[in-house]
Amino acid sequence: MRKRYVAFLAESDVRLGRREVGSAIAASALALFGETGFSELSLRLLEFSEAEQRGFVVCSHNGVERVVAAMSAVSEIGGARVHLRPLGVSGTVRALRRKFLSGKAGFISREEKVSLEGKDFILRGTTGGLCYAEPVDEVLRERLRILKLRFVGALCKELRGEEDAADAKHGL
Amino acid sequence: MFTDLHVHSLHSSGADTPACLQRLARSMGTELCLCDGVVHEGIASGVEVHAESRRELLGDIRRYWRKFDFLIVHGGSMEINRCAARDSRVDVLVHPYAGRRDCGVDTVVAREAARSGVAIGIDLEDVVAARGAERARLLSQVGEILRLSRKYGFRIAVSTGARCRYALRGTKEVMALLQCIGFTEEEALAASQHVPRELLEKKRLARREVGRGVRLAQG
Repeated sequence: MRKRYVAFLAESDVRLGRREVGSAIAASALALFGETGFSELSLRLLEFSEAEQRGFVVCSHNGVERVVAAMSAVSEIGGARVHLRPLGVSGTVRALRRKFLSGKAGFISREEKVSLEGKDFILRGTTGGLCYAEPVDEVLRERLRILKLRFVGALCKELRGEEDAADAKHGL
Repeated sequence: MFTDLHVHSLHSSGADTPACLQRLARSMGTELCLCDGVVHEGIASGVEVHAESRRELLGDIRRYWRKFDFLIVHGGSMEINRCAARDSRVDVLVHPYAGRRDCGVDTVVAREAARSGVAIGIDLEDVVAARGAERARLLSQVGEILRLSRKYGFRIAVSTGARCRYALRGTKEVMALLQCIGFTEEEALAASQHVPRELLEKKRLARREVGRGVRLAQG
């Protein structure tokens, strides 16, 4: 059997573990294609880095499209909203690592008060120019709870820190 | 490139700022359009109309159709589905199956949508978020819409219906999902890429019309 390796990035407000990601992908494929369809895929999670939230699965060469669809159909893990974003497909692990898994996810935890469009937030972390902030406003918290999220996503430059807000107040 | 016509940001019922969504969409190779009912700078902006009656729907269409780049009608009741499918000012009738056992598209809706150029919208978020029997019912409704589209020739527009950053999908993911649920490759390409782009282009030209058959030339 010819194999293909599919690299993916797990995006979520919570840190995901290898076991739960593996079982979520398998459950999704099983739900979409049934037991016989799933067996044809020869799908298995080979590696998942909990620090970088990246990993790769192995599958048969003619099942790549179905594996991408199964990963795309995973919407939540353990009550938290997730997206398993496929990064690319390769025929060897070495090429896959070189092409898709060499970058760092780099989620930096932070905690500071910020404001966005006149509302207060607590900044919880940044990654690649994006900021994740927890709202103070109860209405917005309720909306996030319904959407199974913890944070609002914004560009770092859209958020104003306390110092910037003080400067703005003094007309600087 | 997948053109996603149905995404909500923090300005309506979503959880992320338009700039954040746009950056993520670009990184996935998706063209983002927001339907917040707010005009966003540099992003195709539309409105999603929720109406309880035909009268309310027509009033909303009259009020909004020139103001935005595209107009989406939230379907569900047969009265709304038929009225929206008949009106060429509507771009997409999304989830006509909402809250129904059937797919919400009967022969009348199918014929009217084909005649007026209204696309029937399918939200991937509906399919992705559902589980078990609910997903099976949704897939059979989508299959029925696809069958009627092949028979009557109306267009299908696929969007994510995203309310958060994790519901956005890339072009390859959308193509893979659509082919899994019964679309051919050509149908998936048309529904995710060609039809949304045609709708935006049609509206761009329609908004430049100053009278019947008279269009403002650029420049």
